[in-house]
Amino acid sequence: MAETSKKSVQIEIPSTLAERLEKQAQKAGYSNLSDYITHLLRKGCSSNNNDSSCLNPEEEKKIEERLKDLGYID
Amino acid sequence: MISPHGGKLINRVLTKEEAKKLLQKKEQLPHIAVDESILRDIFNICYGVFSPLEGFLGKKDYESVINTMRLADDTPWTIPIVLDVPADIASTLKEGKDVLLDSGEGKSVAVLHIKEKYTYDKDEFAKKVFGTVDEAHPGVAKVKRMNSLLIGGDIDLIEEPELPFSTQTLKPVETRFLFESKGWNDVVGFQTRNVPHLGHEYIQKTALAFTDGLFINPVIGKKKKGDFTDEVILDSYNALLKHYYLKERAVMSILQLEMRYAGPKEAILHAIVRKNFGCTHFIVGRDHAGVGKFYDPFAAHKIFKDFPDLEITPLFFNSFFYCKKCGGVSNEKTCPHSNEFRIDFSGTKMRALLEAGKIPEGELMREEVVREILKHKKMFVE
Ligand SMILES: [Zn+2]
Repeated sequence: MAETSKKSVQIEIPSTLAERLEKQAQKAGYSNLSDYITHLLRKGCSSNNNDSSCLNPEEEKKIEERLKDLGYID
Repeated sequence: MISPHGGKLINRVLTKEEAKKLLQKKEQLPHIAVDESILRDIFNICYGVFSPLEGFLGKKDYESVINTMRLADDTPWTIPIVLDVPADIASTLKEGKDVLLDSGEGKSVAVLHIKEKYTYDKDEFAKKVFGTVDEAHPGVAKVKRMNSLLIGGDIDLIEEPELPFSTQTLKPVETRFLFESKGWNDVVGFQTRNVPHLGHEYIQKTALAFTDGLFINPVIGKKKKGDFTDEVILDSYNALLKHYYLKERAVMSILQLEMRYAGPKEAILHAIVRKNFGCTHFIVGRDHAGVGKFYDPFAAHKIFKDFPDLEITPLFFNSFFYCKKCGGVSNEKTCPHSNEFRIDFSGTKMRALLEAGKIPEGELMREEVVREILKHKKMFVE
């Protein structure tokens, strides 16, 4: 990762992936690839931050049941 | 909800199928027997209590932690989480291969993917982490007893280690779910290894007054002689919670962690762990995680200045006393009265009273808490 300016950095990704993303970016109405990738990464970051939403319903149910059994929730 | 440390909650638990497949190779793989404190580290790594750690530190991270208080990737981390192995076993271990970590009962609880074997300097470890090489310090004494080779590498959990008080132990994924289901955004974590007196309750309630929930998180694990036993701590807190807290506002679960008594550096680790549980705030007391006279009582407050990127907010509290004139718990900043009105929350004094089966003054400790403590024949670690 090379630093190009204080506000952005350059990141290398495989060119084949870049080509695919370029097409998607055009379809989605993004004027350039960087903006589109930034959008995707921000989305990824915020969903990583919200842990409970990462659980599948089955896992969530298991946690809820254990907390109920142990008296933490009613 | 606050992000886990390093951005991602680590989950290194094998599925039943993966575990079964691995155990079929059990006979071909080398084994290391680990003690209960390492079992606790394994639990903490695999369930994300130690996020972003995914295993025992390799050499680069170990050196970075002791020298810069950060992992090699710059994430704050102050105490090396390492695995030492006896030389005769180490010689059979190869980098790039797997080794099973067995509990005392010979059960394989985790697999370690060996990244590297390395030596370390015990005096350097002690000096840099504990600030001393004096073996009167329990953390230093432990380092001196360790084997002289460490192995680093990611681990995967095969089976949850059997640890005491499992019904009062929650994993970060569970506390995060719990806090969310209670509608808490701001959650304050309280670390303890003591029975609660009114000074503790005052600190907790002061912090709770401007947050949504209180997470009482006692450290359970090997302690030093003279500390209250784990049973006494848990029972006394359960009594306090039952009689003096709202169920919607305060919960307790335990932290399976061996105290290292690293004072300020351990305060940072304690804050990181609470952030992983989902706390936004963390109470740092006087002489936090200290032992004897090894640390300046406020060193644990000062060290947070070195970590502006910690994300969890430390709340610093000084010591408190009961003031008869104020008619409540006060401290130097809030009470203008002289010593004759003040009753000190002296741990030594309270211990002596409890040991003699006497009840400390009502201004010092809740009666319900005292009664719970006195039910125990063995109050202290021998
Ligand atoms: Zn006063």
